[in-house]
Amino acid sequence: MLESDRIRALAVITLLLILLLLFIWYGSISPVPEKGRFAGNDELVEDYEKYVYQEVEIGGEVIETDPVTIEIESGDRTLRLKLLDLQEEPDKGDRLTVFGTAEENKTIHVQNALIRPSWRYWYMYGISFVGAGWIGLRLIGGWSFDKEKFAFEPRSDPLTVKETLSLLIRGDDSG
Amino acid sequence: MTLADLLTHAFIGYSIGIILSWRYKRIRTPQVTAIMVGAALPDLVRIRLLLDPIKIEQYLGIPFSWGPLHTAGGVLIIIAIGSLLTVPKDSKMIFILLAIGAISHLFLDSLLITASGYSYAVLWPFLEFHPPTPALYLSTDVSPAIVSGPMAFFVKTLDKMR
Repeated sequence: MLESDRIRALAVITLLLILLLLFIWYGSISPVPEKGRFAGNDELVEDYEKYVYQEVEIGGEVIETDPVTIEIESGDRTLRLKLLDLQEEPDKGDRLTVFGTAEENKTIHVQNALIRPSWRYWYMYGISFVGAGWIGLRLIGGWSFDKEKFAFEPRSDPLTVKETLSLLIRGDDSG
Repeated sequence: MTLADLLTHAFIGYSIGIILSWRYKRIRTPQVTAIMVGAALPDLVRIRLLLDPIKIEQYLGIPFSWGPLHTAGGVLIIIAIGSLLTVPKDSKMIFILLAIGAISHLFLDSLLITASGYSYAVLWPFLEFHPPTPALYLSTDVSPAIVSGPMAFFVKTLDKMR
């Protein structure tokens, strides 16, 4: 391994450690409503009473329509919340994102809500998958990984989609 | 947090890349792809669908969130790592290309409709502020791809005519 490669490897490891610190830091931040950071699903499921009379922003599936009740999730745990003053009339199974004030008795006084039928999520994930596939094929066709240098390098003659697919099927990078 | 669909980000990254290639001859097909990769990077945050941060918290006993991956600070680190994984003569250019794509992503997502009217902490950890969102579209809307798709096709057509 070259000296410069060693420095490069060290730099990558250092950056990964900083990233890990950011994950922990971000996870420890409490809601700050004045800055637009409202308590969400995780906070409310953890300790609802702590956020009573505060503004919250949550999302969950509609499980009852009279009164409208949503179930919010955090990890393995769920919490059912009744919604007050909801203008919209969602159906069971719709996804609701709600901004409002947490009241006593697990009730949210709604100020604003967004309703999305569940198929919209399937659309979003489906089309995102198409986007990821397109980028992935272009990456494999336009770049190669040099194991000696441990680095990606642009191909001087990028592969076409057909060539990329055949490379994927053959599974080697000799061509 | 709401995210626009990845295909829209790919279309936008592609369009930016092709347009830049008209001015900068060093930007060719692989470099356009690098911008598209940059435009996809903030969506690494979707790893939360596979590895639930709450379960990680319970397991490790410390606070944890994947959130930084979709903020300026986390993206900056990912881009730096990406540029270090290229040969030294390319790394500066790759850093810039990935950054162009990632900025387009974070910017587009800051326009998304949210229930509270506030977007996400785009510039965290440099700024904690969640900017108000102009609420242009929903992450699950069909319209972003319908607008950005033909736009990318139009740019491609112009490119072919040059």
